[in-house]
Amino acid sequence: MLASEQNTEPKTAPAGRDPVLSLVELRTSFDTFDGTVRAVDRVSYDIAPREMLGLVGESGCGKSLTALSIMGLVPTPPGRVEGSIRLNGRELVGLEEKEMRKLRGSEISMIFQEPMTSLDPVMRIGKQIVEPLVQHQGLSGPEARARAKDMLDRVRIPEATRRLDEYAHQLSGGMRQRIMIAMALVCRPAVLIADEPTTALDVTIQAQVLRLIRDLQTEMNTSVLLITHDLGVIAESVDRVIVMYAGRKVEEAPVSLLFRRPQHPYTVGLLGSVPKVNRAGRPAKGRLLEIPGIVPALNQPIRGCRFAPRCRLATDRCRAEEPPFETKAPGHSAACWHSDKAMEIAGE
Amino acid sequence: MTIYIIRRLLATIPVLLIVAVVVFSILYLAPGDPAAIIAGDQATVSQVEDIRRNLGLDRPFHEQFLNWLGDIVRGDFGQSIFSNRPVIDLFLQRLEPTLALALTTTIITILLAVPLGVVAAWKAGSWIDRLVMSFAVVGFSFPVFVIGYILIYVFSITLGLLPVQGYRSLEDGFLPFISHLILPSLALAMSFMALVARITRASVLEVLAQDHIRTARSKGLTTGKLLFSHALPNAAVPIVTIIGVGIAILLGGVVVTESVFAIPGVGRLVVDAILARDYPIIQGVLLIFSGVYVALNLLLDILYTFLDPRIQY
Repeated sequence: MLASEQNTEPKTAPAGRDPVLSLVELRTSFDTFDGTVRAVDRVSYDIAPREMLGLVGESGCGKSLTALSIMGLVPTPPGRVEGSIRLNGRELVGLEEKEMRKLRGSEISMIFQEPMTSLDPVMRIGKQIVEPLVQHQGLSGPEARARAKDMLDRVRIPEATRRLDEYAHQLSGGMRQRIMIAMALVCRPAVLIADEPTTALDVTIQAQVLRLIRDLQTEMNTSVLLITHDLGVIAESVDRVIVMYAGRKVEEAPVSLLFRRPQHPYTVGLLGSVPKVNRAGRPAKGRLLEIPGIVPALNQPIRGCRFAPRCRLATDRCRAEEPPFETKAPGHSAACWHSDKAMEIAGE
Repeated sequence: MTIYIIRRLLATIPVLLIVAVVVFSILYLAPGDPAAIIAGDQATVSQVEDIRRNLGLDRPFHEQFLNWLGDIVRGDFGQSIFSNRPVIDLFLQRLEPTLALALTTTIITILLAVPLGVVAAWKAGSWIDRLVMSFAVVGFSFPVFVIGYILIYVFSITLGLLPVQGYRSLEDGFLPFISHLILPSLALAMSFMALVARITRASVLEVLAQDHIRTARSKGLTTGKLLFSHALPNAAVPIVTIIGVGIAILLGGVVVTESVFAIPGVGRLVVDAILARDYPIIQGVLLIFSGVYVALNLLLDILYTFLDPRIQY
């Protein structure tokens, strides 16, 4: 059964607000010896001002490449980025490197998964934080340093003045990630892309860092694209979620709806493969749900639904025809022929 | 740090002692009798014996060695057998040209080879990279004297731009000084540059793959800043090491270069001393060079702590 609305690319940003960042039919592919790998395939979404958008999916689903495409950091060649990426109305695809460079770190910033290796080990922390200010705003000397110190205060690093003169190896993983956040936000960018920002951290630190990103987002009026494979992280922090599978967007929903009533069997599988505990602190009843099989190779055209080979609901139609991405409920869209039955998988 | 330096300085004593033993043994290991050579072809046996006694060559080995070592510790490197002048004076007299040559060579190398290596790494696989690396192979394959004579032929004889040979002290003015140094420095720098450019390329290439470079790019830094404020400082330790090793090799290469370009430096002093079997000079200069090597190594180790804050002693 199909949902009544037939628009294939629903307007995703909450009505009335122009999106800060808007992706339309983004395609990122790589030319390899084994043919063209379509790592990101016709993905569209918007991020509203001050919104925190989550991007989930397993490794290799193209979520990080989406981020690198937005940042203009996909090496071309062998990579190729097509479609449209608009930042405050400005087209980024095909933008000259010189122009793109001016946006990086000032309008759009990124933090990475590995805080241990993402900072320059031989440059003082202060100088690293100041660099975007020097590059983009022409600040220098005490003024820039004052801004750096202010940022360290904002990311709640104690003894900020002393830390400015330290090196990365003198700091813990959590601290380094805070430094990364300070560095990314120092020019007050419109969009912050956080690629697995807490994956490499201790669980206790994870919550702190997420909280920090959330707080700073409100404080500094930044939109955040949070990329993660961890649904726990998503549940705690984001407003809206996009689920990607094998380079395609398969589901998009406000976070509460996604958890309450997922419309795509892949999302159901993702939710089911997270261990839960009951109130007594013991593992909850029921088996962990696993998604059988592996992600398909992306170097040849795929017929039908990409998830079909791993999907228990798959029918002949799924294998022949790719399901359109359509609205299933207000604000909630998915690409599945059998979305009404998706929850059945979890019930088994 | 101070303690480390003191410890390192103390550790150089046994090293230099071993060098001293080896250097001193040359006198005995080398063929030919110095007393007979000094005495000349016409000397009688008793004349040779007189000379032997005067030079102390008839005493037991250990006695000679300890005497010699004691003098050196007091700063006395002995006297040249032929000119009867103190070795240390002869050495200092010849030091300026050698130092000037080594210094200009090192400066040329660092100024050219390091940026070339960085650019080659940045453009890895491109024609620039290939050009730099083929230059490195060529530069490393040709011996100093071949490059030297080619340079003389092209720039001095054919084009007449630079002097063929010789040396002018800095006191004679900068222009004559530098014009006499350009060709020998270039000849000497060729293999040095090849070495440094290769190592620079390799270590910068390695650094460019590191995560923090991606961070630097995401900050919107220019390529120049990316390469020279982030990539190069991170690649500095191996590069500085190879420059240190290069300077050591350079001191050896100076001997040949000085001969090709008729520069009255320490290299020529040693060559002449070897040809004349003037052992005190050979021994003195070898020992001083060993001291320089040891000091160079210590300097490098100290330098590392400034290049990489993670290195601590």
